[in-house]
Amino acid sequence: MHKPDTNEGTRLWPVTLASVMLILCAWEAASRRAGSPEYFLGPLEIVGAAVARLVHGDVLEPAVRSISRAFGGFALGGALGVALGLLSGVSRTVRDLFDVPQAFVHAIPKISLFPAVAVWLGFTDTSRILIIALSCFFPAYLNAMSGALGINPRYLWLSRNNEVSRLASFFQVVLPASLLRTMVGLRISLMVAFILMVATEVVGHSDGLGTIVMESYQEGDYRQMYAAILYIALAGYLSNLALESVARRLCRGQAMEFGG
Amino acid sequence: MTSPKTRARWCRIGGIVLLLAVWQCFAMLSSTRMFPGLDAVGRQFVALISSAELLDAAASTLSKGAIGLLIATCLGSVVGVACAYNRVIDAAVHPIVSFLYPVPKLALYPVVILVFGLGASSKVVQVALECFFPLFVQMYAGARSVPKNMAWLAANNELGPLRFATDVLLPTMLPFLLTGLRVATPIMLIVMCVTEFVGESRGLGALIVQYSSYFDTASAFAVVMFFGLLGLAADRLIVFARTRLVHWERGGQL
Amino acid sequence: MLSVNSVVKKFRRGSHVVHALGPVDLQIRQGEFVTILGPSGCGKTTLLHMLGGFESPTSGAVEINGQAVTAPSRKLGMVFQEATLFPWKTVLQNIAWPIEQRGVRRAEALDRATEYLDKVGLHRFGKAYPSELSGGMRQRAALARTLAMQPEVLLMDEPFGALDAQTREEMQEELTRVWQASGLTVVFITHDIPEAIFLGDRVVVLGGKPGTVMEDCAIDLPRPRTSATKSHPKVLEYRSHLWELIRRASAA
Repeated sequence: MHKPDTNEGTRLWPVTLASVMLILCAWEAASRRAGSPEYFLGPLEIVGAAVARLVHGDVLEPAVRSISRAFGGFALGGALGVALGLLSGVSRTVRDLFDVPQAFVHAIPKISLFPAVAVWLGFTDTSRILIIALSCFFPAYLNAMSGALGINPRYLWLSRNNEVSRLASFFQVVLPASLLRTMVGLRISLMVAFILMVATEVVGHSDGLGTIVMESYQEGDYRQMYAAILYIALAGYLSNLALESVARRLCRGQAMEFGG
Repeated sequence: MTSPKTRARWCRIGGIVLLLAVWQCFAMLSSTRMFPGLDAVGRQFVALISSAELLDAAASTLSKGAIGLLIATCLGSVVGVACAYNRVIDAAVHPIVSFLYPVPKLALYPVVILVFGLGASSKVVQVALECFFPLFVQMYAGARSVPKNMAWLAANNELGPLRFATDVLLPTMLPFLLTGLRVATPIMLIVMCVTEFVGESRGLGALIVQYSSYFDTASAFAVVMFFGLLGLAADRLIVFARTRLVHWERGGQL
Repeated sequence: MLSVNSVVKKFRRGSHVVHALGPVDLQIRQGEFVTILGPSGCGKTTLLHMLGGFESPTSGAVEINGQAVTAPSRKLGMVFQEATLFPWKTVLQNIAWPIEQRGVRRAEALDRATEYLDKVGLHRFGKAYPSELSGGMRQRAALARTLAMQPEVLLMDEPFGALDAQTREEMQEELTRVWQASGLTVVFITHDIPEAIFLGDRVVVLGGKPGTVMEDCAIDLPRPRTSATKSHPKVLEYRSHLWELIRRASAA
């Protein structure tokens, strides 16, 4: 009991497979039982509804809109967050300047700003991307800053020894050295982008996957609801996978982990 | 020039001033009804606090959120420890949890409402659902962080699983628990906020939607400010708790 | 009292099997202080782990007083290379902990713990936390804690390896003094030849690949051993003899 086992995880993939199959089968069986509520759909039916929707051709448009919002906010907030984070990591002045404002804005759940911002800018893509970008900013900022702060000072001494300019050092030393933590921050930002995307589409009038979920729920069309949820889940999972592989390639040679 | 400490202090103050100045500019450039000035927000903030409306809403939000967090902590601990100490359970459970982690659980909220109704329980369940993941990750890491020698020390003293849990596991996992709470608390606030946007709800999120629908953006922002203060206070509380509870670790980062 | 019977240990590394240790046969009498000497990687730590029941032999058996050792128990107390004290407890609380595990109530356990605290010369540091102590003091606290288990055998895994030379010598003298007063059986692992000679009634030299017993050398130095013993003429003889053995063991 006392020793956590660390090795041989690869030999146990049959257990994983079995566990997944068990859950899916139990789920399917439960959904088919007489007396199960009408909103309780099994995996087969959900996948069927999703495929039907795809074939019907009306899932692409809302999906593209939702995903482009998510990525738009992610790109904006992430880029700004990384840039300012790295800067804060290497410059005491910038760090102190941003210290209190970012801590305060960070503490506010950005979604709480949405209704008020929507009054000002309307329930448009602009207001949504703004809120998403604002939320994505912080994990990127904090992790990039942590990465830049964690740089071995010897690396910076090395570049000064070789008379490298400040700007060149930033791109040749600071950026690569902070890459690991920055990528961790960006992965969290991406997750946040998808969560905020759903959150902003659920409030007010909109036209993305999140809206479909809400509207189908209100109309009682549970097949469409679950299909839309599946697409959201897929979008989130696949984008995370994509970012992870990009991160892995960029950070080759360094140990990676997802702390959440 | 001035000493680095004073420079730092001036920079900090400068940052706050800058933020407030940017805000005021925005307010003055747009119609005050849509984007309130700081004075309006400030006034509303005071008004709301003194009317106890804000505190009532906060109590409603925080009580449900806290229960959700508690459930998530208990579940995260049990599953985390189980996965850390049993390879089979780990192989069966961990990949599924990792798979679900990047999925926006908020999309499942309608399903939660269908099962638990539109009242408080669906909010609590949603919080528990979303906060489970970071807490699981932390508790798993914490359970695995017991040094091998310490585990052997426990075996040497013929410790049963219960005493192992109380004497060795608990203190070792404590810093990880606090980190988990530090990550999960903002999530809890976000989830509570969003779930209070929809349906008939009480709480801070409901207030924001209410005021926004009256175009009373000053009050809406006042509530947002309060939300922010709550988040800050919770964060500071956890940091403080860490210094007292994990007293043997000094100067480590959270 | 302790017997190691044809013990063999093999590990699986990836796709092939590594024959790390054995066969090893060893008999240890009650009250003996046996040092196990060998170069790094010879398997001496693995042997110690098997003696304590923390690892199981691939074949062969370890017995204490005729009973097989299959799992860790209080009879064989382990002292690790790192003190492994609980950082959240004071030194006294750490020492009291094994006593509590035997069912004694906390207040009384703390009381009894002071006795062990004094035995290792830490009587002024009961209320300190491990992070406030030096390496040597931490090892003393760890020793006191293991003694508080009231084991029959003390298993020590290069406990002074991480200490500086001076502290190490002090600790060796301390240990032999404590052992002399206790009557315990001790199995002590080290790669330090003078340490092995100073502490042991016997030095068992382990070496080769796979590790086996190269020689079982009796140390005929007067007891009790003090710092004066280090300049005994026989010490040099033993030293050069064991040096030769170790050199052969490393080359194998």
